[in-house]
Amino acid sequence: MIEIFLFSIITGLVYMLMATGFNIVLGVSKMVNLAYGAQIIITAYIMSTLLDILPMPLAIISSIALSLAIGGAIWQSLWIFRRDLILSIVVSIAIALFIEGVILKIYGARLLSITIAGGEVLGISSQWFLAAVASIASMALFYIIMTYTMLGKRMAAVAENEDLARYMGINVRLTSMASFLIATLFASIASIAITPLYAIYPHIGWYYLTIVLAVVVIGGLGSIAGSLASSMILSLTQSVAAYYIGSPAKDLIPLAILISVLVAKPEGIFGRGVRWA
Amino acid sequence: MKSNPYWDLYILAPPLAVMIITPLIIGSIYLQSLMILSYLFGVIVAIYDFFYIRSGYINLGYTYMVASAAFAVAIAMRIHSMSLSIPASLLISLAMCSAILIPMLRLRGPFYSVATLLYPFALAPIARLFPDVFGGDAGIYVRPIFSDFTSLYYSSIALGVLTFAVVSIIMSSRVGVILTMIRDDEILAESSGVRVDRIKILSHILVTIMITAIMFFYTQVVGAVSVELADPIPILIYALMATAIYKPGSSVYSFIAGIALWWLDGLLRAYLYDLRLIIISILLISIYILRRG
Repeated sequence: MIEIFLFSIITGLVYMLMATGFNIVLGVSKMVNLAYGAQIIITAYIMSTLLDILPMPLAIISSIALSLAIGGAIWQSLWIFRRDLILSIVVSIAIALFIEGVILKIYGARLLSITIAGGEVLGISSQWFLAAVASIASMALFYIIMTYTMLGKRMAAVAENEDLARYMGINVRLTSMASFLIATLFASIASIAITPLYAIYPHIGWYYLTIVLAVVVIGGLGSIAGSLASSMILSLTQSVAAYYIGSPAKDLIPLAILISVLVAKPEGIFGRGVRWA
Repeated sequence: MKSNPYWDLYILAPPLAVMIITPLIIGSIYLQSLMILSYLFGVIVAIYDFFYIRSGYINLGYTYMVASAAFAVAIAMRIHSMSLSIPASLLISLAMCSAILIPMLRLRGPFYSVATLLYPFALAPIARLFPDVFGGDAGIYVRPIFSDFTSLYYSSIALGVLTFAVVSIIMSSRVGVILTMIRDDEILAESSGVRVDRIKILSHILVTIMITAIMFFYTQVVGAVSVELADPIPILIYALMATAIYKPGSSVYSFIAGIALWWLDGLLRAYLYDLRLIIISILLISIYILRRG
């Protein structure tokens, strides 16, 4: 039971990292990036290839760099259509399908497992330890960026009022791109943290997107504390359901919680009055 | 000519004529099955266009509704009395699809779309959790009702025509006008005294009934139902494409585009399976970019 609890906390931290990336793009650029799940798995697939030809640290850095380059291209596509939210949603679905199609073409539909860290650290699996450290470090980095850097202040200003930020001389386009790249970085780190825990396949990006959307909706738009709480609630409920009911129950949990929250509090448990309805 | 609300219906005549004479020219039951499946797919797309694109509620969980309706039919067909299985299939379908009504009543615009996107992914775990009911990943067989294929074929065509007649009546009725009002400005519609929630519930029930009727014939042709139906491809992606090819909300054009895309998907599956997703995604983006232009 302690193992389940520990595993839930680590998975919850990774979920939070994923959701924070999605939230940043939604908050700063007002983009609903449904290709985010595909962005998460693309790093894993790139890394699986690079691990065969490069030493591990270099493979990890290179896969993140390549994912950032792809993220830049995705941002450019979404930026063009961002004024029309429905259109940007359709475009992001198309991008997700495209990425899934390319992965299917190159790697096929087979399951792929990646090993990054073996053995144990402080009595727990090294992979779990790595996932926890990577997630916490990324969130700390995000806190530092948002609190102490000009970029963070610009991101906050654009998120608050884009037109006013533009009048104040802030380059909204550049700020949006930077925030998208930070989100891509989080997706890549989350990918490296979580994919060694589960086998991956081309379609799994949609599952991760489901998790991200559930965390964002449940936690409330733009609420980091909400993201943390809902990530933990989600991962813990998933683990307990998988243990007591069976693996399929785990996949149903995000939707069940989402519907419950929509019925009771559509702005999310920790939403700051942002209207969804 | 354009002011006539039924004008678009004349465009239905050529594809309907083709459908009607096909069994007289082509003897192959297999080809006839493909024809009728593409036709029913076109009707599913037309319903999507009318109720969701027209109202501005882009339901990305539509495949959940379609698959739920198919499962409802298959489950109800286990009852041997037809007089019981038809209302039972409607009740099961309404119960399963009511889950997607919740975000419709609580959310708007892109948030509604995003929340509904999650629904199709729930069906596979539900089927695995209750294999006795849904048959797990393999799905369940559907009890055949029609004694010969010709009667199934022509009944399906008749259902499609009936669906268009109902949609046309709704389009020119108060409900059709209110659906357009909701798309343009829901708050204004509400403040004008329109009971928006009531219209949403009514349209949801109508969609569910129509889809259930179509899936009754669809499952009779296919003979089985599985969770694959909930997969966003082909239904959702092709529905999004078909509705954007011509003016959104013009169900008749979406119907024709839906048929064409169904055949395109068949060709892609047969000859370019590896590249299918890539081609579909490029097509989807291209159609929306051209539409925007």
